[in-house]
Amino acid sequence: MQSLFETQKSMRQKRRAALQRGVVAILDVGTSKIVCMILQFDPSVQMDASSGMGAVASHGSFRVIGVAKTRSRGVKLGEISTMEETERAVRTAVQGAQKMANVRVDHVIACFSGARPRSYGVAGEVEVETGSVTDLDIGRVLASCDTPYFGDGREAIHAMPVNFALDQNPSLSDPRGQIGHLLSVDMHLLTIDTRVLQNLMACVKRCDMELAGVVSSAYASAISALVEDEQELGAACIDIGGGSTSVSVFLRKHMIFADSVRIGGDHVTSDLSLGLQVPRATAERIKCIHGGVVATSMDDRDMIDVDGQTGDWDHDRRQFTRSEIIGIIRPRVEEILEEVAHKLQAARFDTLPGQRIVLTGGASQIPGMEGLASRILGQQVRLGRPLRVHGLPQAATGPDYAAPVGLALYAAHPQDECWDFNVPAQRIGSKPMKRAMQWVKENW
Amino acid sequence: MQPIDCPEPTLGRVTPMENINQRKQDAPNIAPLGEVSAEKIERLFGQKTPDAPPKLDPAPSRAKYKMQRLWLRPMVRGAVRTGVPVMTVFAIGLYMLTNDSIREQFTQTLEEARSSIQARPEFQIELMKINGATESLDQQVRAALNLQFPLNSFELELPKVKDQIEQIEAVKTASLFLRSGGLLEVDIDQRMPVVLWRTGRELDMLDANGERAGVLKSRLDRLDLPLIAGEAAEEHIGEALELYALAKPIQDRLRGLRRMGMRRWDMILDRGQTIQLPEKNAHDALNRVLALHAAQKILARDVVTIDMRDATRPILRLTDVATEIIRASAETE
Repeated sequence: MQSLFETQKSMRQKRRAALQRGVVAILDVGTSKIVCMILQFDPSVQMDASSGMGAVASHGSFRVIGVAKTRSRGVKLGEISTMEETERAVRTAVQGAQKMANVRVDHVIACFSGARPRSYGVAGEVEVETGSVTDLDIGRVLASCDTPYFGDGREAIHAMPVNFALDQNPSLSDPRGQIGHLLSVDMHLLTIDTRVLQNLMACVKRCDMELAGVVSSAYASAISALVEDEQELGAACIDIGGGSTSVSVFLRKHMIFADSVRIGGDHVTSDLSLGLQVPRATAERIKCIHGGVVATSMDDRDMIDVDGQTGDWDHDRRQFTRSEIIGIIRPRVEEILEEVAHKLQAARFDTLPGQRIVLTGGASQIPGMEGLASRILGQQVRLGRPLRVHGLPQAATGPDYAAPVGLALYAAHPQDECWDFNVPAQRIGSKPMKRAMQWVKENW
Repeated sequence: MQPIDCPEPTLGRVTPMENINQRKQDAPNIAPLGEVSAEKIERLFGQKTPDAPPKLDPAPSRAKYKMQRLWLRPMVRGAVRTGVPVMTVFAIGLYMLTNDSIREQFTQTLEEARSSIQARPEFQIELMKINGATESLDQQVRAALNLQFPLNSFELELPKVKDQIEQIEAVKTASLFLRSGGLLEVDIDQRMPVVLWRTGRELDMLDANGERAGVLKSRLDRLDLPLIAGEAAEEHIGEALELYALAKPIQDRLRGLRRMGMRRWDMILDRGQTIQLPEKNAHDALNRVLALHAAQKILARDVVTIDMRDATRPILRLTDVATEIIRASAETE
């Protein structure tokens, strides 16, 4: 965790530098599309640079000055599988956004949905030293959390203090300055495969830019798709993307659980492609135009021309009823939602006070999705669209832009994370000395 | 579905004759597929051929991407947009300045262009016309300027010519105009001589302001003008002219006025007679003398000098002969 701790801290500093310059790029590396957004921050509302790391940084108003979307290549299940291809796609998106904004960006905040996120709830407890809680106490209590073994090659991407307790008061969001004796914290840790993150960092670096933050797309899309009440009372955001479906649970304005299901809209497309024996592009088109999950008798009479593009006259002039297409799409969507239901059950979502479920992401636009989801997941299902953001073009306001918009909101109001607080010296002090000694040994 | 036993696709042709004709027309094209035009394939087989393969990868190359990012740097953009042109112009200018042959050529071309413009007939002066001058002055001006026509107007410095003309004494002011048609027009305001002033051997003609308006060799040339003499006489020409006008009754005897000691006038008559006038009230004094003359013919007598300098005591000086006669008559009595 230590190395990522350092990385996260340096990324945090880069983000501050970028915000001071006023221009930051948002990069959503998805399986079906890659979106680059360029945000311009109003310098007059920016936070004071001299204020501490731990302060909740509010960067006020921002404006989207450039958006570009490109078909994603080389990304599978939300993870980079072919570096070269992905780099080219990222270059396309970044160049398009830069061209629209007429501004050069050097700092990128990225999000991705893959990498098998896993949630951990950890707790720590510490005695308050001076009587009232200071930043240092919070650093100490965060450091005192005993982290479980994540597994090889996994690291924390988010480590957010969710809840503080001071003596008898069990729920404090910010205990700083309060008088007490025993401070305890609940922290939500989200771990991912390090390899995936390293690939993303390498990809961004190859595009001549610096990574100024990494966010799980489950978190990002929840920020933009959930309204404040839902975040407060408890809600799950299900972002059905191309290659994977990310699930996040919010309670009291903090993410308490995140996971992902490695099935998404692309699997529906490949099912259609296999079932109808058509190219993927045609299948995608049929899915978007004629797709659905609830068949009616009307759909039995609705004939759809399917062009196989093989040059075979017979094969290229087949017709299917809409019910047949729905019959292919529905099982896969049901599978996705059932997987999501399992994940939510694992997160004990049914014990939360509010049980609102918000569907967002590109695949949530299939007609009838809401009804199907409420049958599988629970009664309170709605379709979520991202919040309105200043300067965002109309074309980029659909549910498939939930993650990039959420990332923009995150860039403007980042959540305090574990590495924003100074960890006491004895925890980190020995490491640099050890490293220096090792360097001396290796070189002499 | 197409019937399998159909020997040819009908392709929508109506009559068999038409069909046959079309086949004849198409026959040479059918043989090798590679040579058949896309349009023909479309017509024959009802399939469209793609115009050009679609671009599979819209991604910019890495170099292009980096160039675009470089171009988005404000400093780079400013340097390329203003710095490079300025530097280029500066470098070319420096090269041309340091290279002698280029510079010479440049100046030569400039000179040629200049002279070709100057040599145009519009700028040639063919003749000079002098207005407001007598014939003698006209010749004098022409001689003084000594211009060789035709003349280029760029070589003629009008202020200098004007100065040259105004240096001639008879010219009060001169104004020069270059008229179209190659005409140099000189308007001269001549000085009008009103008196002659004898200085030594020469006779200067003076205008009313006392400025020289020419030189005379002989008094006989301008008998109409009154004559004055004496140092600083030119400063009191007005007074002299008034006295002359007053002395009209004795004009035939009047020789001239002489300024004495830079303060007063002597009126010189023939037969050596002199009327000495005072500094002030010379008019009155002369009037008195004229009155005496009118009454007693005083000027017709043997008087050499009538001294009117003291108004209370006019003095007559007689000739020696008259004095002798008076003395002799006095002794006889």
